[in-house]
Amino acid sequence: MAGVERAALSTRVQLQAIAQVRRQLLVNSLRTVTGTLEAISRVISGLVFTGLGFGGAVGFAVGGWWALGRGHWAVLAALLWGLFVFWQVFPLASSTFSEQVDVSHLARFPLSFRAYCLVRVAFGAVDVATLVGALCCLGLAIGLLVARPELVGWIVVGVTLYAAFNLLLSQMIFAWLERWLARRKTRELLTVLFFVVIIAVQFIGPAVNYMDHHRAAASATASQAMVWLHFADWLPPSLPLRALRFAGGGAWGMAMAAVAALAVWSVVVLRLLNLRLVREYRGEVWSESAAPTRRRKTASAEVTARLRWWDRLPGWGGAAGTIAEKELRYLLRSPAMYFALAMPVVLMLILQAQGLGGGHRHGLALSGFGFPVGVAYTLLALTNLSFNQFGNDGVGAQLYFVAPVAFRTVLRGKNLALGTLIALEIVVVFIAAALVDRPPALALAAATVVGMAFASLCTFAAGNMISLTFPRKVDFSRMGKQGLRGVGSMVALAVEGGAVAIAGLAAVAGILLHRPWLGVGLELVLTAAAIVVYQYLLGPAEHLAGRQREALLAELSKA
Amino acid sequence: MGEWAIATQGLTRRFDAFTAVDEVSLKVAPGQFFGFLGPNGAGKSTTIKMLTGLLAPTSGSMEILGLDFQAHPVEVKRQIGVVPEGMALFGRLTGAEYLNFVGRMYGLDRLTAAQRSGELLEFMQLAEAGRKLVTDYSHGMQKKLALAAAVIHGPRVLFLDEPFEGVDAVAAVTLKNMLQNMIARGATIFLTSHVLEIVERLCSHVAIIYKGRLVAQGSLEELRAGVEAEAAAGGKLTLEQIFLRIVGTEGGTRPELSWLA
Repeated sequence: MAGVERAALSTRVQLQAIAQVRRQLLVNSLRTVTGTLEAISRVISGLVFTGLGFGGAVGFAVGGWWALGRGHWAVLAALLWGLFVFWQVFPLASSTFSEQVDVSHLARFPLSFRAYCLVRVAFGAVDVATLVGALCCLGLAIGLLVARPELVGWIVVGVTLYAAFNLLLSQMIFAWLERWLARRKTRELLTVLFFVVIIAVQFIGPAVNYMDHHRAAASATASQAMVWLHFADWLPPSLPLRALRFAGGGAWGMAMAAVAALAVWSVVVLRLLNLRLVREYRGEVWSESAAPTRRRKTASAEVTARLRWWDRLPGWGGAAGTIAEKELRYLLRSPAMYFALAMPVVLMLILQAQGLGGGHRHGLALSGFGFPVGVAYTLLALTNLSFNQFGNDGVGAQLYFVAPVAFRTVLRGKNLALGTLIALEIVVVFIAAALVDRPPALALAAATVVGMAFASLCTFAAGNMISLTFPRKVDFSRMGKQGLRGVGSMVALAVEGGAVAIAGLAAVAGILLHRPWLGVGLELVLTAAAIVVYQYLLGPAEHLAGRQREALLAELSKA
Repeated sequence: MGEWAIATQGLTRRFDAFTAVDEVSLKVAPGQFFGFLGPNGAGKSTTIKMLTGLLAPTSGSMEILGLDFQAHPVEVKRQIGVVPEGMALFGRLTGAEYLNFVGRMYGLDRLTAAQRSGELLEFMQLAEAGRKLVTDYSHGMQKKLALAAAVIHGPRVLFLDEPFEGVDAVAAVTLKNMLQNMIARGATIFLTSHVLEIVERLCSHVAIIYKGRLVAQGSLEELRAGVEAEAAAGGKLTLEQIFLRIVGTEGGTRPELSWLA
């Protein structure tokens, strides 16, 4: 080594270097307007969630003080279980707001396993759920301390351990989910499973409503639930409560057992997290490779060369139709799309079940409004896609710039695909509404369809611009990188809400004047205006594509 | 700029204060197999991106087959085929679907696109991949698919950015034969590669870019003659020797890293 001694590996120096590089990345991201706007949107959402966290902290402090001071143990249990559910479920549902930092590439550096774990957990902790959860825990601890200062030791240990458990559990869930998301086949299975759970959860409300009106079934379910609740006493969210309750009653042994059980849960979760981290640390890299596919010769010319019926439809024969066909292939290969298509119908079933649970139509029962409700949900579920239209394309988007096709045609093709899906979904929703609820009144159906056309055109026009200005590569293998984020999601929400509000106002005006067809007429005028604006904006969008192509391709080419 | 296959005049691209390509004036005659060389970061990929519409030049002009690129982008793109740096593949399509899509984007009707897709998949030995998605292809298979997509519409000018990177030796021979057949039929090929042996074997003409500026251009014999005259060296120089002499970084001139094992 020519007299030069190798410096000792210092974890502290390495951690400092990692922190510095993160800071540098943040600073560098501010060099572009898009990066600055993204940072501003993050600051805004950060402030909102910090406010939410402080609000939660105050609520938990008051709730904890009241529950412990007056011995309302059920309230304390509800607080702890509520916090648990929020901490674990929110990160999965909030990928739009939170950015997960991928630190797996650090494994190539001579980082000790301990340092790697520290970095992984530290970066994983920088998210909304941890921020809000930690603040709520702090508030809860303060409230409990004020109520029963003599239990200070138990409160500090119990709540701290509970916060640590939640933090580790959310990290563990993420680590294992990413392991399964890394391979396409397991990712698809997981997505289907996730959607089944989401749909099942939707039926809890109607089930509770049903129980409310069927006492016999309710009492049978309640006695069954009591058995399970007995086990739930030893689940982590119940343990801080048990510790406090026994400690408050002087049963030190039982209190100690509850704290020990919480510690054991934490260690189990830590071990499961450790299993993943060890593999990551050793350089485990999961490719996109799927399970082996059947090796057979590709569909040859004579199979694929048939002219399809849709080639004869207006707008489908040319380049826009080709792009729309490709888009539909892409979208329909995503299990998430089937979920989005199924959800409006599921929602109608849920709302109808909610209303029928009581034995008569009331409350949220559809009462002839199933069609507009389903269509409104379709708008929410599908038009969001138009705000990040190139995210799925990845580096393939280069083709749009080298092919002899005007960029407005590319945008029109993408809009055509989504428009087709929306139109088909409207037909499905109409049939479902007729079966689940009843066929909507003609004027209501017309107002809904025309309103949807107006809202779709507005979102397409805005979505084309946003897709080019704030592109985001979609990575299905990483949590928090599967959809729109930052400025794009805010604009999407504003445009969707605004378009629905305008169309809704037109329809409501007709209803108030007892001339429902007047509302349809107003919507038709709005739709005609939206068509003109949409067509006009394709020109500026094409220029924008020219200006933004480097930024767009740079984002979509990210590894 | 006349009837050149590719002609640029004062082509420049700046990224803020950094000039990646500086006043490059290139001329490639129809039917030439043209190698575009340069060290890393010299401006090769930036130039090829500008010539294919992936990047806008800061200044200067480009003509492809006598058509001004900026004035007639769609007409120019119709005549060219491209294998860009990122390969421009759509991972969630099968190889056949992708080729069909590209063919139709270049204006082929569905029947012709499907027919050519089948032939290209057979030629590139990708037909057996069947219903496999492109994302599940190996790197070499993706490269072959990208090349198949670049030629599906029978381009008159083909731009290839590192076309042989990651391609196995057997497939490389097939691809080279295909490219040479295209040249024999009058197409023009503009290729960048770090493998100088490949360029030497395939290309009749070469240009070298260094620090954004074009430092040499001509046939291999012309470059060789120029360098030999300058260096008064005996024997026939390889392209590697020519390249290193022109770029001026022949091995052994840099200081040793004494701490390196």
